[in-house]
Amino acid sequence: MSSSLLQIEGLVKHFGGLRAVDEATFDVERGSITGLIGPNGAGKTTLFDLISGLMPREQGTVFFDGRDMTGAAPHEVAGAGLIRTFQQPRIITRMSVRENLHLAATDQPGERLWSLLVKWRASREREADVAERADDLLDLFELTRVADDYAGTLSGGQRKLLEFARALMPDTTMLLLDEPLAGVNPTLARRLEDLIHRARQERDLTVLLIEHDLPAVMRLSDRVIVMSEGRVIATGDPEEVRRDETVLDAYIGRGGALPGAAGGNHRE
Amino acid sequence: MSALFDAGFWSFVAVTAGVFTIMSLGLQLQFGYAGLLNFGHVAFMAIGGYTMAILVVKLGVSLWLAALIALLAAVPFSLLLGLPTLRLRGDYLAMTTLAFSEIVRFVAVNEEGLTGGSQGTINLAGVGTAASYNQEWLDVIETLRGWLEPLLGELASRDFTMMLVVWAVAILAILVIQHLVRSPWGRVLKAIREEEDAAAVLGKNVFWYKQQALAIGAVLGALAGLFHAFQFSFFSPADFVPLVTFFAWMIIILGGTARNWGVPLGAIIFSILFAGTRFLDFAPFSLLESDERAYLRMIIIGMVLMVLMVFRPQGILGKREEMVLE
Repeated sequence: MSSSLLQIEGLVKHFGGLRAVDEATFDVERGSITGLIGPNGAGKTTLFDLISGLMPREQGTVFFDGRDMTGAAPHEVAGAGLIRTFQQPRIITRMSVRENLHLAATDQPGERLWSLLVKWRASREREADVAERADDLLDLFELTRVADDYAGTLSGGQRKLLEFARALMPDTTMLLLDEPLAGVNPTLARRLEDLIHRARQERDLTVLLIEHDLPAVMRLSDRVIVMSEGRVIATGDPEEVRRDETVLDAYIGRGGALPGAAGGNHRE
Repeated sequence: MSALFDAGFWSFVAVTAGVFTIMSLGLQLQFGYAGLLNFGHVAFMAIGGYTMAILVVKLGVSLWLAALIALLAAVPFSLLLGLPTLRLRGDYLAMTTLAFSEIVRFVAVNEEGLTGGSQGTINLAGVGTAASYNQEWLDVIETLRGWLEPLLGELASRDFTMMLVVWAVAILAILVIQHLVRSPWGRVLKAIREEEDAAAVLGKNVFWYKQQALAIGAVLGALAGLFHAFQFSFFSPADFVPLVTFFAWMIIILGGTARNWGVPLGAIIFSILFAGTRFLDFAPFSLLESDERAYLRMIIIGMVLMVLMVFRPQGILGKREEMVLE
């Protein structure tokens, strides 16, 4: 159990009479890429909202990196190294692309009023380090050309890239990616896939990702968690999940098959 | 018409503009940078003015100490306002802040023993006793005026001297706020204005940043309240009606939101329009009674704002390209 980084136990959230998240329980292994799949309305994004502290949960616990994060505020969750993205990228449109990255830096004394007035030099020095880190990420995500444009002028795909890059600015231990490949062209989707891989490889990140592009999920993930109607209905490696009867029922009804990592169709 | 060419009159207008600049700068930080819909800003003017006047008149505190305490008092009052309300969505915040400013004003009207009630500070020391709180201030202004007189002659009036002091403070305040909003701290504020959740999940304590912006804006409001009190040597709860908050709103919209130098620009234009309507004493305006003419200025200011919204919705110094981004 020591190798699990995120432990979710019995999370519950209602929207009126609807049990959006219904006693969701699972672990995410340190250093793994875990796919979180399920039909629309299965409660995947709500689960992210509960983990990241944006929404209060009703029951259950969240442990991250050995710390009890149950009921923690969003900035406390982020401070522990757990950073999330959104389905619709929440970039700051009225800031430059570069500023969006700078914003996400941690340990910037210039973000505190008293140190800003007393030791503004420390703020400048930290900013220089931050700029370097931002430049590297701009490079890696091929955003250098638009670095000084307003983020609001970026295309949908570039916004995804920017939000992903921004999530790597802090000292991130784990990423929660909400549909990182949705709404982008196939070429960019492959690049994003590659970037997710490299984030794990080169930065020792753990990744939990919601994604509807099943072949991509199967390729990327070490483990897959399947949700339906708020419940976790299956977990396992991609091959196991692909053959799981309950999963097939939830997804496409009896007699269907889920695509493997190689395929692009829903039937093999 | 003679006032039109009277330097003393325009010095007075310039003092008003300076006080409005300091007050509106507080709202600029709160709304322009942090996105807080504060409809109760005038409360902090009242808190600043009353705290100072009460300490001087009732407790015999020196003016300078009283002024310092008045500025600091704005901080706990901003906590009182912010702690229960800053988690609210924009429009709810607008309603609760408006209510807060009315509560402050009603307290000033009804707590006669503390504030002098609706008659204002003239009643602070009780009926029949003259209550003056700003003698020390007037002495300093008089000394400064004495220094200026050899240089400027007749121009060096009391109001002219006051104008120089108020504007020196206003410009200093703008420079400090400019330093703050251009820092990483200001960057977080702007991010909160645009995408609160994004700032939160990147590790920023959104609530605390909002509270800081509210507190700094409140101190600027109190500072404006002090100058208002110094300038008029008397004030009453009627000076702190919600309309004054909306003057500050007009000023930052005129000058451009999130543009610090737009604040003095907006305040000057506003003050000229506000004072200038007194010159509308020719036909057809002469058909109106003078108190009716006084309301004309609201109509004129409203029309100027409408024209501005049509042709320059971002305000005078605002950035058009930032308005169209989504």
